[in-house]
Amino acid sequence: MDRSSSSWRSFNFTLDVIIASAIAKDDVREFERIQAGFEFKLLAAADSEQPRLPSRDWSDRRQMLSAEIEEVDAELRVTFQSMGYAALRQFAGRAARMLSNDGAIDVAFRFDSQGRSVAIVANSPLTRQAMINFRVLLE
Amino acid sequence: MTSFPSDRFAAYLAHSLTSDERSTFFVDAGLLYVSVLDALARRYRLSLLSHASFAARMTGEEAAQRYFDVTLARPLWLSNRVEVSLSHRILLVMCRRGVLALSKHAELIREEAAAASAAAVRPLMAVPDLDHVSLALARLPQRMSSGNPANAIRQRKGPLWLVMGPSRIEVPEEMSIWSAICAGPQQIRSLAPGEEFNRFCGILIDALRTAHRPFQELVGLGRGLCPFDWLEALSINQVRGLRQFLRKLSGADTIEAWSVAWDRAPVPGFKTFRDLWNSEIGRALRSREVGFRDVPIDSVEDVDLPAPDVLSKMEFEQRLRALRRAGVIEEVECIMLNRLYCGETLSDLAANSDVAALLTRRGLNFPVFLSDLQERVENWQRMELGSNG
Repeated sequence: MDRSSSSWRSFNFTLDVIIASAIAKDDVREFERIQAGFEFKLLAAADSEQPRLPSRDWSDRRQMLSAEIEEVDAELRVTFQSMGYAALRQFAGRAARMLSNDGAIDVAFRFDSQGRSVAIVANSPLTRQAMINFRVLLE
Repeated sequence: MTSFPSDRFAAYLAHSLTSDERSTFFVDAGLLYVSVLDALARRYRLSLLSHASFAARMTGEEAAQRYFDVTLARPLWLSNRVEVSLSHRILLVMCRRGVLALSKHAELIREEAAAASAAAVRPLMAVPDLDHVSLALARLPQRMSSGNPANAIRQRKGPLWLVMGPSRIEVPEEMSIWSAICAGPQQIRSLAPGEEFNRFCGILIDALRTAHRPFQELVGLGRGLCPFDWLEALSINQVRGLRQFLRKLSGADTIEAWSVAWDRAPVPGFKTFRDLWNSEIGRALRSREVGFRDVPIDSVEDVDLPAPDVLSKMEFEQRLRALRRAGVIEEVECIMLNRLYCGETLSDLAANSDVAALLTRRGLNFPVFLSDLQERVENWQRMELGSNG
C-alpha cells in the first residue's frame, strides 16, 4: 500500500470516527436526559374524582426508585428508596427534585448514602391531583 | 451509516468516558456498566444486537448482558504483528489520561523481569491511582490461551509491563476492553473535543470492531440465526467457511444443492457435506428462510493490518480540500465535515440553515446523506488511486 492510499485509509477511518461520534453524542444526551428523570404515573381511578395515592409498593416506570406516601397532618411525606445496586450507585448522595407534570409540585431534596430520601409536599387537593404524574430529576 | 455496526456503540462508550463540563472525569465502573447495558438494551438493540433473531426468546436486557459478555468482556488476543493487543492499547491511553504528571509518559514495554520476581515489582509511589491500577491488573486472570501469539512473543521478548514513572506493573497478556477501561486510573483528564477526543474514540472503535467481529460474522450468515446460540459452538473459520458455502448454494436447500455447494466451498470442521447436512448448524440453517443480510464484514480491515490512525485536524482539512478541488464534495459539505471533526453532533448540524437546505435539496435524511457522502468519497478514491497506481 503506497503512502497516498494509506493516508486515504486513515481519512476514511477518520470519517467513520467523526460520524459515529456525532451520532453517539446525541445518543448519550438522550440517555442522560432519560437517566435524569424517574417517572411515577398513577392510572386514574374511574370511580373517584380524587386520586387514591398508593401508600407503598409504588415504583417508577424503570423500577429504579420506590416511593411510599404517608399522610401526616397537612403534609404528604414521600419516602424515596433506590432499588438495587445500580440504582443505589446512581442516587446515593445526589441532590434531586420532585416535579409534577402540571407544575404544581416542585420540591428539592437530597438522597442519603443509602439512596433514601424524604420529600415533603403540602397535602391539598391540588397536590394530590398533581401526584398522579410526577418525575424525580437528579441534579 | 458508518461502516461497521459497532462504531456507534464504541463512540457511545468513548463519550461516556469524558465530560464536556469538567476538566477531569471519574470512571465509575458501576455507573458506566448501567449506562452501557441500558444503551445496548434500548438504543442499539436493533442496529447491533440483531434483535429479530432473539426477540422471541429473551428480553433486550438479557441480550444486552450476553452481548456485553461476548464482546466487551471477551479477552482480546494479540495479532501476529504487534506486541500489544487492542485492549492493552486502551489501557495505555486510559493511563495516559491519568491526572498525575507521570501519567502522560506511561508506556507499555516488553522486558524480562531481571532479578526481581513479578510479585516483588510493585509501584514505588503510594498514589491512589497507581494503587488502583496495580490492584486491578493483579486481580485479572493471568492465563494465556494456547494459540495466542502472545505465548511466542512473551518467550522471545518477555512479559508486558506498564511503566508509569518509577512504577512498573505487569500486565496480563489477555485482557478485555472492559478490563482495560476498569484497570485504568479512576480519575482521568477529560478530552478536548476535536482531535484529542477523535483519537481516543478511534482506538475504542478499532477495538470494538475486533471484539464485535465474531458476532457480526454470525449475523452475516443470514437466515435469522441467533448469534448468541452459535458463538461458542462455531469457530470463526467455520463461520467464514459457512458463509462461503451459503454463497455458493443456489436454489432450494436440497441435499443435491448442498453437495454441489460443498464441492465449491467445503466448510472447515466437517468431513463431508453429509456431516454438515446432519449437524446442528446444518439443521438450523435449513430451518430458516434464505435471506442474506448484507453486513459489511468484508469492508472491515484485516485485524493483522496496523490500525489506521485518526488524522490530525490539519491533515483532515488537507484531504477535504483535495476532495473539494476534485468536485467530490461541495463547500457546505466540507464545512459540515470540519464541524463534525470538531465535535458537533448531527442535531447541532441539522439546526444549521445551510445544512438543512442541502438535505432538503438532496431529499435525504442525515444518516442516508452521510452514507451517500462516504460512498462518493470511496468511489473517487478507487478511481483516483487506481488510475495513479
